Amino acid sequence: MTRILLLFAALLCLAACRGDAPTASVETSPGGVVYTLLQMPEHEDVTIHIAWPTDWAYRADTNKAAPVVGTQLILAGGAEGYPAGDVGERFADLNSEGNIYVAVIDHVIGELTFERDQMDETIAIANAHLRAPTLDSMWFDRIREGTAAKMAEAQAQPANAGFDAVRWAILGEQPLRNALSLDEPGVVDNLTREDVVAWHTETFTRTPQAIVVAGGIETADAGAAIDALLRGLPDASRTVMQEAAPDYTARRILLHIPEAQTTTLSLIAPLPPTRLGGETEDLILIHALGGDDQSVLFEAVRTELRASYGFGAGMASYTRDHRILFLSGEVETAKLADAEQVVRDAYADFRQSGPSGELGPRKAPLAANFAELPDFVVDQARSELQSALDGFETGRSLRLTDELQAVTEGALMDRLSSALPQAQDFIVIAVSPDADALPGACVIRTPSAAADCP
Amino acid sequence: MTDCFGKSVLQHCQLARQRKRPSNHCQVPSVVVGSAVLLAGLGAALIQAWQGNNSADSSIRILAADRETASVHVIFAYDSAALEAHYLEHLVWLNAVGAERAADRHSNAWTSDTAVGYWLSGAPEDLPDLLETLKGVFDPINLPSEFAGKERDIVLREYEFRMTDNPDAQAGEAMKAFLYDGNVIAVSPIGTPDEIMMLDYDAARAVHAATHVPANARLVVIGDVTERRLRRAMRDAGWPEMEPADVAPPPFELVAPETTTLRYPDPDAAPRMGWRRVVALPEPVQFDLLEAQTALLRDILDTNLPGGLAGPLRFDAAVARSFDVQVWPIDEDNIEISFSAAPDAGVSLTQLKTAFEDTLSEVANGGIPEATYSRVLNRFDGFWPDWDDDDETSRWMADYVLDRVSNLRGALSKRELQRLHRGLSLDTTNELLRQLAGDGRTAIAFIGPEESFE
Repeated sequence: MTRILLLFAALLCLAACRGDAPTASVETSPGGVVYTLLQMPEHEDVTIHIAWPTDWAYRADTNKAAPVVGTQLILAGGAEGYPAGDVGERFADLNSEGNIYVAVIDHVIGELTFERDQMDETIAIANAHLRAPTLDSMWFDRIREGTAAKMAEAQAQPANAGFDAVRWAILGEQPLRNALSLDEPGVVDNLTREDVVAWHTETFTRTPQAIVVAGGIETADAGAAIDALLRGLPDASRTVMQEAAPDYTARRILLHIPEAQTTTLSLIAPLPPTRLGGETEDLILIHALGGDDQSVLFEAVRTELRASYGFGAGMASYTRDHRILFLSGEVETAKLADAEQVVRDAYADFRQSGPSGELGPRKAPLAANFAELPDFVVDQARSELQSALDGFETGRSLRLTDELQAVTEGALMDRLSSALPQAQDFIVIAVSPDADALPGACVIRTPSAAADCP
Repeated sequence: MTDCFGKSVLQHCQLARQRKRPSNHCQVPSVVVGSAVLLAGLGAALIQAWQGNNSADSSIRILAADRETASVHVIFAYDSAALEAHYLEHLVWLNAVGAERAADRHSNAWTSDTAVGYWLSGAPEDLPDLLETLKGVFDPINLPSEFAGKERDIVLREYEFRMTDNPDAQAGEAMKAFLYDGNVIAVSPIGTPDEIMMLDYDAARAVHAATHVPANARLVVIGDVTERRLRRAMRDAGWPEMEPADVAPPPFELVAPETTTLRYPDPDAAPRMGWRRVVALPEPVQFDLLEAQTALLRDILDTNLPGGLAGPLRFDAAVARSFDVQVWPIDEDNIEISFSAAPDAGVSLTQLKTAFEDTLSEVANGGIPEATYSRVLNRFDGFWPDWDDDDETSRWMADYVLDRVSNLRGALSKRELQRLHRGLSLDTTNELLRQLAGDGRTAIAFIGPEESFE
């Protein structure tokens, strides 16, 4: 009898677990706004993520510092009915969180997370800040001045100057370069409050590109929440045009900074955009290439050449359509030329042979993390929003484990040959106090000169 | 207090991680205490190297820890020179773990002011294997002399990576040396380039023989494994017998109250000030309770409520564009406060310092209002886990125990921790604040263009 009861209890538990499993659906709010709903019944928290498309960075007639300053100003400068400094304390009382940031230049993302019982007040506060931020002049000045000071310091750092140089080489005078580097003289100092007002007005509309609601919330409540959050926002006033023409022609450049105390080496080449798929394969491959102390590049540059504390690989995006692979690290100045060759050789061999060892252990850390994703509403919603922006099927973020299981060794090898650049396709940028440390390289003294390197 | 909606950026990130569902009682990781011991660690070490590939636009999010991994940590106290211990840590890790291993075996090592630690993670079923590999840290170092000698260069690269072009790190080391003068923790394991090049392989081996012994070791295993299984795995791996080690942090005695102002002129740096003070308490307070009391005081000082710093310095007057405040115990008898801030336009770092010191004094003299204390106390739940959530509690306890062991401290039981909140009160909070505003050893650092100092 006891066994039967235990079995019954186990079946009940299984049924309950199934009933609580997250589900995904496309919904339309009463106000006509389409959104993705991830129902996660075991959570008391709810999170709403919204992506507004923008081409501010692509246009010649905009001040590129406006989004950087504007996102901070909305959050800190107060809104209609909410003086600066008050709402932060109220949000802390409610255990609510809100943030706005620019994601990969193409979207402004807003995130709002709260306990289900605190939804109404949280959304009312957030709506006021989206719809009628004060954009207070005093706060505008202090944020602009702070941004200018931080940018000046960052641009003086040799490693940052190297990445600025790469953007000059790839994007030249295109507005997108200045949006990514904020290096046009006076770009932050010349920003006006009117620039931020214009950016705010055209960006925050009631027609975002994607919305995800995740957590323990019913459909009717989610729809009402979306409508309340977007209430009073205007319709989109213009068509967003995100067009850029990067030039990834392979070049070897050395940025000579005599006062630099270290040397950095980076190799950069394009990757296909994530909307074309293959992202899971990329994660496995790039980790094997340069993700930790067992990686190909760490072994080659630190363990064998003994030239660096750490040399790794990663992926980044100039825009959603223009993604890059970078291999980068600080190296001993006297070993710079050797390091470049060692990195190229190690990469070429990796691209030819693929990751060593069995695939299972390489998948294991990702599998463990994917399995836990539904425990975290914010991470789950972020993943789903990015999938939505890439045009994938609704609920993809709930099926990442399946996606990972489908990856085979053959798929990795296909990805290596079809999507990853060849060893000779990289742009090489070194920043060094020694002008002769990279024989044959185009030696420049300022990042902008990289645009003229053959 | 920075530009964010309700919480500082750091808090936001931490809380985002905590937005999770209640326990489903399906699979709960547990902390297992090794024979000799037990307990505690470095939370940051648990972050998987996979994080490096988490770009903002990725639809695949990686979490900091997972249930399907077991990690083994071995920690040794040391009382030799900190830099020697750091060099030794590099050599021991290379000798024991650095060889090729399966892709799901992650590993690293660290050196703090008082201890060195090594960890290795993998599948829970591979626990005997993990232990057998990590057992190598007890073995004599048998690296070729030339290779060991070149590891000095890697330590130098690490110094450059952490310290070069990093005035905050340089100031941090100098402030620490002054504040903790005469104590073991005043000496940094990072060293200087000259000191690094003087490191000696034979001396490191001698330190290894004296410190990396079972009697001085503490073992922490984190994972979904039972204590019985761990003991069997230790036996199978030939893990050395370990008696409970009588380990404690080195004693700390505050030398005479004194103030120093350090200056780091840099024409490109954004002006900022670091201000730190250590004070001795009249009576010792149990460490965990003191940690909670200081954290609550910190939360109060961070607010824009009466008794907080944000009103006088940021919202009611334009003195600090942004600031961060931290308060923590050094041991049961001494606490430290750190305040770092960027000044508003037209405010010199000297004026910022004076305004902060005056505000701290005024708040301490007036006392924190009851209303502010109660309001912030209501938000303080997140300092501890939800004790009714087994999963969350297990994760929290794992981090907590590992932290305590890594800092050579004992760990309280769950029951003892659950009672700590009773030791929080307005009176004790105000008393700590008065201590911090009184006599202490104070280090101030000015960073930025020289004209911003006065």
